[in-house]
Amino acid sequence: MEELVIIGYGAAGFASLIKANELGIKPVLIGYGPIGGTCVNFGCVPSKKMLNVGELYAKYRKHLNTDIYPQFFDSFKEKDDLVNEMRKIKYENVISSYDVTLIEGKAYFISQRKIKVNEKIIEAKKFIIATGSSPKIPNIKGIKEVKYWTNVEALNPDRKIDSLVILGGGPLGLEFAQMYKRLGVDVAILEYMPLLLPNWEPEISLEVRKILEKEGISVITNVNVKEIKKNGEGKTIVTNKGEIEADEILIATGRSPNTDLNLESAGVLLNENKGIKVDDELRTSNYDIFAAGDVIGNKMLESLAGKQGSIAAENAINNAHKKIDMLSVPQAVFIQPNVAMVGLTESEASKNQKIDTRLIKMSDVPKANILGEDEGFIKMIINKEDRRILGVHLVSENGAEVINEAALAIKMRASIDDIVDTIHVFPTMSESIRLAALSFTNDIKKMSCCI
Amino acid sequence: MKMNLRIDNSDLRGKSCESCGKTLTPEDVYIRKIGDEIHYFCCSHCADAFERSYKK
Repeated sequence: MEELVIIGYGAAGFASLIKANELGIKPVLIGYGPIGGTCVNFGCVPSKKMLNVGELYAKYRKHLNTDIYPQFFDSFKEKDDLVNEMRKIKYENVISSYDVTLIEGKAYFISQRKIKVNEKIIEAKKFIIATGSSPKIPNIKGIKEVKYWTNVEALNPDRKIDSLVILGGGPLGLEFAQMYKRLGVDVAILEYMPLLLPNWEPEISLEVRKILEKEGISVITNVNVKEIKKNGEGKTIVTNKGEIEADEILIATGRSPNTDLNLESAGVLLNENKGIKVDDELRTSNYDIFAAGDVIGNKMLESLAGKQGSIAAENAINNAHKKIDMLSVPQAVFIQPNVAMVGLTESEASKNQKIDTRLIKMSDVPKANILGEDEGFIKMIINKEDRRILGVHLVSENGAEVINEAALAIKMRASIDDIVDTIHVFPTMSESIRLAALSFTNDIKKMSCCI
Repeated sequence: MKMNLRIDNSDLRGKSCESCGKTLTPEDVYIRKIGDEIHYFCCSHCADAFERSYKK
């Protein structure tokens, strides 16, 4: 009998493998598709590379006052080179330095402690399910007959397109919108809810919409897609507000956990998000089976998946009772300027405590002015009594870097006084965190630099 | 093909600040989630006033 079987070799699965080896266990690692999972192959790495290419050219256009755009296929080639290199360095080479039995194939449970893969039955004391997620395809009339793109095709286009309609105004939809717009493609975003980024602070949603529309992206919210039809070489999208014709459609309406593992035979239950139900130690309804990453169906974030993989392994092997502080898990949307958040929204925080909030504009942050990138703001939410920071929400240049300080502050349950007392390098974008904290007691518009 | 957008995208048409009644435009709108609903205002002060009366 094996000590530990890890199903899935993406971010969570690899983290589980590394932790298992640290704890003296040689696991069986099972997966299918390109090693490394979504992140390195079809997710964070290629999309952020493409966004970076677009960002560079946007800066050239802005600062050189020239109408220059990246070469469509050259940009994707540059991305492919990076993905191949990172998959090799971060996954293929890494796995060779660990003690593991690697099996390529699709596993499914046949009992509480047994799985079957490639006709081979493996029995183990513990399991970690880390099978990730796949694009969620909405049930729209005509969608099955008309070919469409998901993140996979959008990162590996088979042809150059002139126009793209994106269904979904969440993080994925917004990133692809700016990515393609900056490749010179006409882009429209259709969002069913009244606001983009529906689960974020409304101020963020509004600011993001302004930024994208200013860049020439059409944003249509409160829209219900009724039908998708083939239209010559293109497609027609019929909505309750009218029609749109474009070369291609990208489905970015969320992701579904990959739970096709015959979980019933293992006694593993699903949650309301159709992900695997776990407790806060990542244990499923089967005491010996744990789950980590997107397959849980909660926040689908690369760094969270990695942490969950590690914690799941420690809890599975040592019954360590470790938990993740979900309050301090940051997330970002890598449009420019970045959008990022950590902690509670104002409406969440105000439910059971007295709160105070401040919002300062990036135009009040010296570094933003130095960079000439002063769009956006930072909003901070604190407990009014003990002044501890409950949430930070921002739109800013390099905001995905800045939010890490806020995540640490919330993890350490720091107060605004702790932040104000911490000397920050001048001039930096992360000073915005300190200025936001300072704004609870001072009018920062009436202060000189470095106060 | 160039995008052909034949769509009515005037979400704010006819909408006014839920506190003071001022007509809203895309450049002059402030949104806040109060309870489980999205509410539209012309500024944060109006949102604060609305929220105070909402909580009473």
